[in-house]
Amino acid sequence: MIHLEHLTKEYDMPGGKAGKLVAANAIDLTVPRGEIFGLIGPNGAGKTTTLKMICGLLAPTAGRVTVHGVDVERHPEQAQRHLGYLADFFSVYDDLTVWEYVDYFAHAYKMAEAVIPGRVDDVIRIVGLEAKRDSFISGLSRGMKQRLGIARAILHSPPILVLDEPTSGLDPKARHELKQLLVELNRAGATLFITTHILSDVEEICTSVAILEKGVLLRCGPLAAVMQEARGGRRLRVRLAAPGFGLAEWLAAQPGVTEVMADATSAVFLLAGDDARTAELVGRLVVAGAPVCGVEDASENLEALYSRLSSGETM
Amino acid sequence: MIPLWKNPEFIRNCRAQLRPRRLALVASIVAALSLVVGYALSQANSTGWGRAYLVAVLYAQILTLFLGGGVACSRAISQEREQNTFDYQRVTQLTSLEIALGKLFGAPAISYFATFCMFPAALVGDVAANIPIGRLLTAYLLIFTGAIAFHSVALFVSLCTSKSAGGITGVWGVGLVVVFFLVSSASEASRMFLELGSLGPGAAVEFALHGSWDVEAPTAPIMGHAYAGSAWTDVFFGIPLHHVPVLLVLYLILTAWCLLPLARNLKRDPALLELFSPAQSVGLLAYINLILVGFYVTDRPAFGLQREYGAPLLSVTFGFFLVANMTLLCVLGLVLLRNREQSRRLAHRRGASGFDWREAAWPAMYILAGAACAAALFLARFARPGVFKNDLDAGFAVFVSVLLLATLLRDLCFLQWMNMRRSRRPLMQGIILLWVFYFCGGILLAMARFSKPVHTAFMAIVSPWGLAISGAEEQQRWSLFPGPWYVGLAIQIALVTFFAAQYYKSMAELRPAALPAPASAGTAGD
Ligand SMILES: Nc1ncnc2c1ncn2[C@@H]1O[C@H](COP(=O)(O)OP(=O)(O)OP(=O)(O)O)[C@@H](O)[C@H]1O
Ligand SMILES: [Mg+2]
Repeated sequence: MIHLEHLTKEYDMPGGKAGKLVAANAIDLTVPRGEIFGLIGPNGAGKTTTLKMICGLLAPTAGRVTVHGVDVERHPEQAQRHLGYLADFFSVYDDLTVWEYVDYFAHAYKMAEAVIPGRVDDVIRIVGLEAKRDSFISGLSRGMKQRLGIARAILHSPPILVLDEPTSGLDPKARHELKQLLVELNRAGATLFITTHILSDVEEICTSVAILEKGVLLRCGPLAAVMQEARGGRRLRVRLAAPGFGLAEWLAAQPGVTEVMADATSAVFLLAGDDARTAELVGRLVVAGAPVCGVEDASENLEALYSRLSSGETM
Repeated sequence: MIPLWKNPEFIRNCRAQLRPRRLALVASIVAALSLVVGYALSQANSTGWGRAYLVAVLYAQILTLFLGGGVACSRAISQEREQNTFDYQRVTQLTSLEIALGKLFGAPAISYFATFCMFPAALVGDVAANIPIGRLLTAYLLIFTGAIAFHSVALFVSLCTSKSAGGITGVWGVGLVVVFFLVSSASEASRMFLELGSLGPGAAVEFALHGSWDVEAPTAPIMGHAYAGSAWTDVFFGIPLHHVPVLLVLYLILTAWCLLPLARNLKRDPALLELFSPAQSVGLLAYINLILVGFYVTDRPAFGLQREYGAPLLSVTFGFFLVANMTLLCVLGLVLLRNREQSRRLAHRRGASGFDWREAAWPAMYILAGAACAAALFLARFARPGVFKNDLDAGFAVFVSVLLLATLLRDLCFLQWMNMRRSRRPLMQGIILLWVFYFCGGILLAMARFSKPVHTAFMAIVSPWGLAISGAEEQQRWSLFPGPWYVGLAIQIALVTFFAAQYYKSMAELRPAALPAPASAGTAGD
């Protein structure tokens, strides 16, 4: 669906300093149909730059983007027909009403004249702005403007949605609703490419994820695979009913066990291998006389993984 | 292509501007003003008030349309960029031309409305002054076509004045428009070089009051007056034409030349703005030259100053075209200059194989092509015996053209190099430096006047621009001491090479460093 080939964007260093600022460094990436693809990274990682290049708003310094097999730079209009785009800044015409705004874009996307009135009302309803249908946009709150932007992006039912921080500025309820909406759109066949700083959102709805830092893709792939690969195994926590068993020493002596952190009655460690290896290890632990009362998955979440991968930059 | 009345961009502008309350306000203001002014005029001057009223209304309409609409258009694109709304327009299915047309007619919507509100007043004036309605309608045709042309220039300026384009071309655009309308509204002045009437909107008012459809070619000068014949006759390549259709055609072509860069660039990444393709730039230059050559007066002296010679002089014509073309080439050269972003992309595309000297000496190739075009037109039209009194040494003419061209290229290559500096407005800095250079050079040149050979050498090397207009005197100087002039030319060419080499070097810096470290990137989902 979306295919980035060696995509590069260079800027000058700010303030006339020597050297160059690489906002996207030869990114190769394919987002297949039907994914909800999350692009995460700290401020200034190059997420917005990458997104704008996908939409044909920024010309790459080198490399190529194809959407649906269409080269975005060569045939922007043909490619943009398949794209719905939401920028990280909301930007609306203050002097129009909500309805006029949506109607404008319906015509600008050259939708069939007959379906426009119905579709305009539909999307206004979907994003929950019916009550504001005839109000001027200048009077809307930040979150409402964001919703209006989403209405605009999904208006022409594009098969691909490219959304830059879609949940920013929304209240918890609206955020939840938006995530529901995104999942629904995805079920209905849309491919989503989103950036966000909220990692729990990514874990909740994304099927694939890429971590970008200083223009370089650190990790990329299906969510579970990225996490598993990054961990190099599974992290387990063992709890004992009573102290007295030398858990740390015993674990350290086992093959495939690393990163043991233990106190008198519990330990967290990394085990290379699958479920069978886990079962076998627990079996041997019981046989060795440990009063095991619990074994649980202590996998780190994306946030922890992210902070371990990134070089001290914050999100 | 969407018809205008269905153009969403046009409709959006109209919706935003033409709210009922606003319309009522504008209409009542216009009505009040029309009534009061009309009443006052009819009281003050009971016989000729119709004429005075019509003129007042027409100029009010011109002012509203040209100024109000022009300002709206000149902000139409840059404002949208500042508001961040432009990106959303760029990702829609509207083509650049559709957006441009929507803005061209939509942005001045309220000005159009106010102008329409003044129609009744104009009609009253017309009837009171007993002017045939056909003439008034013709005047309106001229005013509206002129306004569209002017608005398209303003929209073009708006395209150029984005932050990333450096705003410098925008300054040029505004300057050109101001010059254009100042010069053209004085019709006597515009008849000085060209057998072409006033180009400004004032011509329309003039036509409403005194217009006639007679076509009569001007004849030889009579009693020191530059021309005789009908004031509404233009002469193009010797063919007398009525000024009204000529003006309409010129307006429409101007609109087309402004819409061309809009259609090319509106949806483009603003950092990669390329107003005209090189071929189009040369085409524009050829078009302007065609107009100048076609309308240039041939059968009477062009300047009042020349009247004493009795016949038109080739050297004056040559000077006129040299100055005109150097100015045009300079503007086109500035438009063609590459910014860092464009150079960077080029550097990446070419990779290690590098570029040749034609890339380094950018935009020399196209400047030379444009100059060749202009020269060919000039020769085809004027280098025939009997057109002018030939007081021009051909060798001198060729040499001056080449020397000035080399100097222009020197400055452009310098600016191209400067444009690669990492700063916010590198081109502006370059132009300021160049200005300082010419300013100091001018002072020194004036001081060197006391010693002729030094002055000549100085002029040949630093600033030979004076050659274009100082005709006979310099011609003599050139034939007496040709040495310094040739040295001057050699130095200009050496400087072009030097600046081109500097640009080449800074291009090389932008080339990608070897191969970037392979990112540990996989492919999602497979
Ligand atoms: N027009 C520009 N000129 C110069 N540098 C730029 C420009 N636009 C972006 N950059 C730089 O490129 C880098 C990437 O910016 P980008 O906006 O893509 O980051 P981001 O990942 O979207 O950050 P955020 O999380 O804050 O939205 C930043 O270092 C930024 O300073
Ligand atoms: Mg961003």
